[in-house]
Amino acid sequence: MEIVISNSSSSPIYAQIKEQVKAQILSGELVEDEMLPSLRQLAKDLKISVLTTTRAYNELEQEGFITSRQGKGFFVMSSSSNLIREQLIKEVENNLNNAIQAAQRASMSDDEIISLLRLLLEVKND
Amino acid sequence: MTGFLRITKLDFFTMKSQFAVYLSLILIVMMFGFMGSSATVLCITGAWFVALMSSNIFAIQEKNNLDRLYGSVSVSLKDIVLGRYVFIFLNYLISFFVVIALYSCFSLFQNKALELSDIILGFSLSFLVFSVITGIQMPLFFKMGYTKAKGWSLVPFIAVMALVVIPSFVSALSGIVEFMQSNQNALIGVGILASCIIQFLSYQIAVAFYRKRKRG
Amino acid sequence: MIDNYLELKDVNKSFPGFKLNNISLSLPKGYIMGLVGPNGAGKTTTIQLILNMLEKDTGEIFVFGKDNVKNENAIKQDVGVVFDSIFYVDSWTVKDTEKAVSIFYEDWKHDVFSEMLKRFDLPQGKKVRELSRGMQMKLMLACAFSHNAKLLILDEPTSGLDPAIRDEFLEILQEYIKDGERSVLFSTHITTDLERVADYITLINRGELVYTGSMEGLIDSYRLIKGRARDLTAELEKSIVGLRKTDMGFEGLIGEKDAVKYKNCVLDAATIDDIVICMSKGGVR
Repeated sequence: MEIVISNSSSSPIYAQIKEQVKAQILSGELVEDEMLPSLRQLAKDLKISVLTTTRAYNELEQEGFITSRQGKGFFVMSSSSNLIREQLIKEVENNLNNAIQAAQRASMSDDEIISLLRLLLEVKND
Repeated sequence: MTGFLRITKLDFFTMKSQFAVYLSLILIVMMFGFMGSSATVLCITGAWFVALMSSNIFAIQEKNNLDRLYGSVSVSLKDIVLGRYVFIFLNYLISFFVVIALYSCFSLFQNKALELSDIILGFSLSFLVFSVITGIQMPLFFKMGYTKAKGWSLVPFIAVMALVVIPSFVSALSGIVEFMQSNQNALIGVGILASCIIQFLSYQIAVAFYRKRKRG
Repeated sequence: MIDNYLELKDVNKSFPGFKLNNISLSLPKGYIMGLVGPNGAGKTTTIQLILNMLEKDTGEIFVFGKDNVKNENAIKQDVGVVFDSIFYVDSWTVKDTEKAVSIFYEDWKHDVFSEMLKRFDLPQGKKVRELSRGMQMKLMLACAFSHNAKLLILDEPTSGLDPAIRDEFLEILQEYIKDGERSVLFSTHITTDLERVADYITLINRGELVYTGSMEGLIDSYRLIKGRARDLTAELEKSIVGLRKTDMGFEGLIGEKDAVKYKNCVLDAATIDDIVICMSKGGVR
């Protein structure tokens, strides 16, 4: 697992760790049941405080992405990539709802919305 | 090893580079011994000299911030003070034996008999002189540290020297000396007892002073 | 099972002209706590009280759960101390230093000491006075590590040292707490050293306790507020600590709860340095 922290980012360090762990689970860099570095080893490698890594791991555990096994450490949860995908799909749903609301304020018809979406997808896929 | 003995051991280790200084003690004693002085005079000279040198440990302590070392290791305040008192006393004891050894050598060369009573009297009086001087000095050093106490600590030396040197005192002294010589045994006992009492009181005062000080 | 390796409860100490007032803090096992404040704030005094080098007026101090005065000797077997200047005899060699310090410890580990000498590149035969300031600090550290100290107390250990050594020092500390069984109390006025590595922080200013708790909690409690001159209302001015007015506007430190009222100004995260500087400029909040 490789994590890179930015000090100047507006996002707090524990949040950056969470995001990167989630991204690596989704991309397959971190596989199911893989053991993550210990809290203290991670803190030492990134030169940050143990409380920070603890918070990141605890929140990841609460959100269901990793699990801690007594005496062994933290492991990637087996359903985690699905969990992340579900979260991302929720995000898409929210964004689409926002887009639809804005479109309606601009008096766009449903067909216009769909054609715009297709156009954007084409541009993206090029 | 109990706490205070560790401090004593540390003090010896601290002073090891200074032992050359003690060679001058030997030289002075040899000088007096050559002149045929009695054991008593030699012992008192030695004690006076050791008392003078005993401030060195405090100087090194202050220069090197050793208070911080003493404070960070597992010895109590009383251990620190007692250890120092024991160190100073051992210095005196060692010098006493060195003086006696030299005295014996000189006596042999000069075909003089070894006066045991003289030696014992010498011990008692020199211990008294030593106790009075260091008994006053040590609490001062513990109270104010070496630099500030240095001046004050010379007072007992000067007092003792004055007693020996100033003529008006000398005549009064000779009366005392006669008295002493006729009551030697009593004097020996009194001398040793007084020394112990002085050292004990001095130690208690030093502990009280050191407790109030910032030791780091 | 002792959770807190170091605990201070309402510790008070008065001197003529200075008073350390009701200082409390808790350092759990396995973490690093920074003790921060401007010069003269009372950091060294606090450390001296913990080590019983100074007698407290009132309050309680517990080290490893035991009273720091009653159990002084037992406690100090497991405590390692480093100060801002060397406290060994300057004519001692590195080897002599080991001989001297090991007198006091039942559990002295000679191989650990030798290992540390190698790691720090400290020649056995070199005299203490011949060592650079950085090497002297490493010597004190080597001694502290060689008797299995569970609590490391450091009083400005890196002052006067260059950033490379300070960085190395932080790495050594993180290595030290890696097994979760040891703690560090680290007093410093170089706050950048602490900002990322310290888990807990205690802020002292002019003898008063300003904050004690997690590092995150501190950073979250304050904001740096900047704005134009016209935005500086009387009410706002009262809430700001360490106010600085220029031709360009004003800036200062403000509590997080008050900060939300002033969205018209720029609100930045405050670094520990910002907090300490503003505190020393103007009053305790």
